[in-house]
Amino acid sequence: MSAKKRIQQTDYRKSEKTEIRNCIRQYGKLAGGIAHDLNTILTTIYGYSEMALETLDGTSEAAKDIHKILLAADRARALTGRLMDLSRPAGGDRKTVHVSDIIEETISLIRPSIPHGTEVAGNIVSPDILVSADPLQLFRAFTNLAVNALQAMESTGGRLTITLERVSAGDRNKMKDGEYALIRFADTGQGMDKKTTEKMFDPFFTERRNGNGTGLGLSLVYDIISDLEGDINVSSEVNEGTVIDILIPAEKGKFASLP
Amino acid sequence: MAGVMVVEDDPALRGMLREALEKRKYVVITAGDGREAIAKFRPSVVDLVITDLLMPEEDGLMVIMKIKEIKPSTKMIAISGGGKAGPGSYLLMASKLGADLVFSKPFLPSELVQKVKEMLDKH
Repeated sequence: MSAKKRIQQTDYRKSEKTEIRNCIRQYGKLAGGIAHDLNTILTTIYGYSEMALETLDGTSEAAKDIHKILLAADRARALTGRLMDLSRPAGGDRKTVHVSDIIEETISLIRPSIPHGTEVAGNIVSPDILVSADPLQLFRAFTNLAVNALQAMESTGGRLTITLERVSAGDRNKMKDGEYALIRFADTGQGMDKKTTEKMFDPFFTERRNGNGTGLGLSLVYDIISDLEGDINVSSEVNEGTVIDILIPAEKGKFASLP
Repeated sequence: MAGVMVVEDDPALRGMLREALEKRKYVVITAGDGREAIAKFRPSVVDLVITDLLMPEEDGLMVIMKIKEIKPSTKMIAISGGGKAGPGSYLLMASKLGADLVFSKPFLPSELVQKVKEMLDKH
């Protein structure tokens, strides 16, 4: 996407977005409490469903209905898992990590769910770049961004390119001096209008319907990158695609990979 | 028959676990919080304790420590649905304090009951 075409650009490092960050933390605490209670209720649902199945003929209508209850419980379980993600502690367990490893793990994870007509490619320009981060949290952030990009290309197909390169502070405005890992998620999907790019990292904001999105994934990304004193820039154009740039301060030293 | 104590503040989950264990012919004692659990604990009856970790009054970590003091051979299973630092942190702490096994809610009660059987068969 050319610079000229980047008609919708939002800088998420602006001071007014600090308010959103505080909001996310508050939502996170609330989400953790709700998830705790829901997990307890779900265990009861699983238990009574299992006990009922023990007394029924497996081919009966009642047994089939109970299997549907269990499937619904599984969906709720996935949702509480995402709520727990939002309530994770700030910072996490930081280590010095190779960003390229996390990108490769991300691509490996999403590869089985890449739809027909869509490509995903890694473009590792600086394979040796290190950052100080919780590798699991970074993996979650990258996975959320990649999955979001795939969903933006669901109906049209397209290409997601994840680029890693080293940039210096001089290349970017408003950043502290030093070197940064730039991780770029560029997709050729449906893109977003200005209103959507302004809200996309807000907690509980989602454009997905029918309960398919919680609106928590990207707010988690924002929180994780903010904790790392990083920066997120979004450029998007409707029907052209989206470019999300993640900047994380680079680190020197020994590295760790995903647990 | 072996005795199992269930310590859980949610009455519905507590009742479900009681039923699931009684179906397997265990003697079941229940408590709604840590303080009640310590008061009801009978070393001659209880061989295994299933305890939630986040509860009013005495929490599950205290239950594990106190019961291990009273009867060190008691098998311990900690269950948790999370907290401010996520379920992992509490369950990790429970392991360090002497829980033999940890389950993160939501779990399949059939798997818990199977583990109870395995632990008590070895007992």
